[in-house]
Amino acid sequence: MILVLSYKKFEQGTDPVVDWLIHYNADFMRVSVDDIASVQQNYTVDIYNDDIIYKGKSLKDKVKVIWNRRVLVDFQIKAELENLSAKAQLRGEANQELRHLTEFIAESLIDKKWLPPFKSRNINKLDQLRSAKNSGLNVPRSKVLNNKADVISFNNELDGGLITKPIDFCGYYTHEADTYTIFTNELTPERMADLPNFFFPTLFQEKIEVEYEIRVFYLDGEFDSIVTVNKSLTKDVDKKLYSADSNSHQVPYNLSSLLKDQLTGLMQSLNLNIGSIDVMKSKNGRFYFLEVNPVGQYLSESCTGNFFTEKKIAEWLIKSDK
Amino acid sequence: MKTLPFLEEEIVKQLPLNYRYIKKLEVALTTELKQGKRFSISNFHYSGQYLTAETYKPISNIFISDLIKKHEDDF
Repeated sequence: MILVLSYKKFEQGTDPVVDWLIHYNADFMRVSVDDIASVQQNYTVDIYNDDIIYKGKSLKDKVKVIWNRRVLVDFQIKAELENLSAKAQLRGEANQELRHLTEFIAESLIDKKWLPPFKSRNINKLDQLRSAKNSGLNVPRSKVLNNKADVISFNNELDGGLITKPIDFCGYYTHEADTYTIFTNELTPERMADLPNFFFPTLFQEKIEVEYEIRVFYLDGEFDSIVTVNKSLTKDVDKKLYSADSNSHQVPYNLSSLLKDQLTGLMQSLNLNIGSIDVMKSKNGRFYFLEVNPVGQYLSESCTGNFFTEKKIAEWLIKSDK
Repeated sequence: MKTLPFLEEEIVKQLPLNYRYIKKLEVALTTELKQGKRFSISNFHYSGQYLTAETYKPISNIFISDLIKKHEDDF
């Protein structure tokens, strides 16, 4: 049986695959963290007998392959509480309980085939850059710095200047009709001048003069790639900000054999069998690895490139369930 | 310093530098935020393009290839 771990609600990367699993009459079960935290679903984690019984089925017995799509725990207390710090503490403690439970369930099923492997799901992006370099890929020169002198020194080593972005992630902060988030930012001379002498450790990277950016979807040695070409002269350093621009065009792209080999080597070194990889081609013709998201979105590229990625994922799961 | 409207500058100074360069977008264009806007008209996620793409779903459970195979079997 295929076990699909995802949200209970619509998730654009999960639902199209589930549609194909239904079409193929695949033997699958979809479980969400909501189900795990639920007081409505009947399940037992039997530690003594080392088994997990869900809706009357032994997952240890039945499950052969697990699609590890979304298992983030975020338990919310659905009531107003005057004591906000107590509410935050309760939420934190409940989430910690669920995190330990989820990890135990995953460990109990660790001998199954995972897509991606449970422990590879949250790979540190700094680790990714180091592994990519070790796999022979070009990566932007990157440093985490906490002081102005070192930033200026790093900038002086480079021809094209610096960009900065979060080490991991920034979500959205919504305030009235506006929302705020962090994209990749260029460290302009004005920003450089405004830097305090010391600051919170921040990631700085060499700014690459980009010819175009490539989004690569990797599944167990196979590649589907699409390139975003933008001829606009005033484009931002973050692709997300100009993808919707009328000057942006997305077309399928063939990676070279060398680049495929290098990316395959990287994915193997990271113990990943699936991922959305960001690659950039510089104006001097070099390809740079930026990052890989093991549970990244792919549906837009699948539709635009006519890749039917969702069908391929479903077929991979079915093949692995044999 | 560009920052979040609900954060004091003193707090932003303690955070990673990126929070000084935060970008403001309109919620209405960022439909991922599930603010009740239609996903299909999100400019931010250019999801309008989905409307011109072939549907990913096998709607009828019948494929052209199935029909061709059936036709071939008839001969």
